[in-house]
Amino acid sequence: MREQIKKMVPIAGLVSMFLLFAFTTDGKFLTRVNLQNLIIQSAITMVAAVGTAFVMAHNNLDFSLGGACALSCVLSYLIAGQNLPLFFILCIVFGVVCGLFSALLHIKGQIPAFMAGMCLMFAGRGVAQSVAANTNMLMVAAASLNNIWFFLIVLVVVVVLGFVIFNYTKIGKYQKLIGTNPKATELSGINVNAYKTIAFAISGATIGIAACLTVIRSASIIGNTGLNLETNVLLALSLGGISITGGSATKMRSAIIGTLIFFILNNGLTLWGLNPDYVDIVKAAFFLLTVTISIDRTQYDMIA
Amino acid sequence: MEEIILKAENMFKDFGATKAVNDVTLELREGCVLGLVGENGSGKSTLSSMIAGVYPPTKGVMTYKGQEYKPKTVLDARKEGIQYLTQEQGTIDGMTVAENMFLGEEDQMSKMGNVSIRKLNMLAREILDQNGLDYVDPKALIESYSFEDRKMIETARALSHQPSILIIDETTTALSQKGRERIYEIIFEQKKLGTAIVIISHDLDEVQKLCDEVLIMRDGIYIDTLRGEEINAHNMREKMIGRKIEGSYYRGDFECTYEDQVVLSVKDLSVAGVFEDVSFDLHKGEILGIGGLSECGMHELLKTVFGAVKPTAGSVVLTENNVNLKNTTISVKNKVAYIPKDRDKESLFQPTSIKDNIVASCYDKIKKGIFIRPSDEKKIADEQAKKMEVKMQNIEQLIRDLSGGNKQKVVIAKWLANDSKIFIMDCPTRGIDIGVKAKIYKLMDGLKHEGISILMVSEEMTELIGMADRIITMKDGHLSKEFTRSKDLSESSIISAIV
Repeated sequence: MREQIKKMVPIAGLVSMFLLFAFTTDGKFLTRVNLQNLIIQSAITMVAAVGTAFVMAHNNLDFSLGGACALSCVLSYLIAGQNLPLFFILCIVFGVVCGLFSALLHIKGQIPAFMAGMCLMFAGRGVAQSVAANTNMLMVAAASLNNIWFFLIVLVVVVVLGFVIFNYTKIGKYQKLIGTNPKATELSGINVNAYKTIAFAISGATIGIAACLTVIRSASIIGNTGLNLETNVLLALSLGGISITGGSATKMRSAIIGTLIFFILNNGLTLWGLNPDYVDIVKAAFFLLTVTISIDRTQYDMIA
Repeated sequence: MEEIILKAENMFKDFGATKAVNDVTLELREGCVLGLVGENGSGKSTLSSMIAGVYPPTKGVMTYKGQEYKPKTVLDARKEGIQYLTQEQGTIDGMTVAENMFLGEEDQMSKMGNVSIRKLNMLAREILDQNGLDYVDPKALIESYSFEDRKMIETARALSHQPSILIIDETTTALSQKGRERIYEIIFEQKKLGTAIVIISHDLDEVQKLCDEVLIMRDGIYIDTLRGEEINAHNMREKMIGRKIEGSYYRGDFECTYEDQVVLSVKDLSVAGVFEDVSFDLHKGEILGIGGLSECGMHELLKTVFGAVKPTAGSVVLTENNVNLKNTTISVKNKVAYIPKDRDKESLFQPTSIKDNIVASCYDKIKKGIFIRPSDEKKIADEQAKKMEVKMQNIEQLIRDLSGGNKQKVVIAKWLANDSKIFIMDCPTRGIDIGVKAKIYKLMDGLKHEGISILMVSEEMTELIGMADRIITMKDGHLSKEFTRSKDLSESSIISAIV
């Protein structure tokens, strides 16, 4: 029963928040423009969250997101310039390379993955800012894709692919086993390091796709491109009720529900006319509340 | 009859809907050794835990030395002179031996809130010396000692204040022969001093050897008390299971039977500092037993054979296709199965379902293209769980809710699901009740007749003699002797080869 309630918290939160803002904003929330905005805003975070969920399932955190996103954009721009298709492909390639770099440090160097990710976050940001200081990286051509349909298609493709790989292939299944008991996974004949690496590569690919969407939205690359992406993604996943220590309780729906909650809350509070500084405080309080109710506490049990 | 020290009357303990202990009365007498016997989940540990202050009873009254006794914690019970030794690790890593020994008693040694480390170490030294642990340094970190040493340190602590009641809950299961002997000595000494002793054990020979009285439980209910001559393995087994045992417990035959074909060849295998130059062949349809003391390197040997530990020298080769078992992925792909000794830590995915545990090793077998269909997962898990007769509601039930024996059935089901041809088993019946044990022996015999080979490490001599075609003994990291299956093989001849 308790478990059932816990499972319902994220989805119930999403529905009630949607209804709350639908009825308290004089219809502003439900306007076509606002809903389109909401989807475009959510898309970048949701795409990245789908990839990050793979890494979290095997009990690691990927902290590189924002920096890796900026780094892929800058490097791709330096090589591809205004060649849009090449730029997109390179973004994804560099995203995957960033993921593999984290995996390498984590597996071969035996460094906790979130630390490797943090290094990448700072280094990537540093590179982006130093290049942006001397180069004007406008990508006007990318703006032509800045419409709801393109974002929606990318979003649906990524979410569906993520969902299928996570639930119906060895890649997803093994992440959950590794997160549950890495030793038993190895002793079941599964190459733990190889599958961890695959998770980082997937996370890297979604960072690359998120980078493409970011550039399309702003039509330029600046020093702050992708800023706070890692925090937003981790907040969104937590709001979606993801298991922080990974394992069998990890669900892909956390990425979708959590991101929607995150941005609906943001959007609704702004529509209420709340001072943006207070929006963050309300978000923090809401975060604390949902996580307190829904987090999996078995790891804290002293006696099983 | 000696004086009654503790009387627990009409004890009940419920965990949710489960009645773990259901109206059991028990008396402990001075200098008397009481055995508590029953299958897993029969409530014997729960009953003794209530006496030791681990849980409060749901209902029931305990009288200790003539007064009502209601311990709130284990420390409460300890202060009253009731000491509880368990199978699990009872020490805390990261603290020194001395700190562990006086955990919760620091108050009595402190001056103005400052614990004198020197005094602590001196007292610990004294107690360790009295218990033949002169090689243990009280200042060293507890984790620098082996499991067995830690257990002995815990035991020394328990005896440092002369207890009135000593409860030994499956403590000997995880110990080597030497460690067991030491525990037996302690029991005899304490008995002479008038301590009331409770022993919980699956090893019925041990119970028979040590106990004056045996209380038998089944499903939380009191079944019977046996005394003196009535205490023998056969009687106890029947009462525990509640029906007559038919046929033999181990393999029925005493022939050494296997085919000439060698399936697995281990050559000059070494892991520096653990074992050296181990070579043997495993034949088709053979049960090859490996016996030795817990620290002789046999457990690590099995892990190395399976590919989970990198050897420093030597090779493990499947003769059929000349494949070298370099890692666990290669082993499993080639239908080799490994059942670890530490079930909870190394083979189970605790928070997941029976189904998830069974399919973990066979996704390659059931996948269609790259996709895994939930219906295929269900089908294979259902099939194997039913074949192993796992006691469950359905395959979605969580593995952690099962008893030890049923968990082990799931582990075996997982490897059957992958059509394993070679089974590497490390203490396959450790901590498992007789009913399931018998089933596992029968299954092993069945597998053997299907031409499947089994490499089994065991710390129980009777199990090795009862099941293996050949027994190889190990001593200090080297193979010491080989025995062939026969009716006349005795425990003592094997023991003499391992110590």
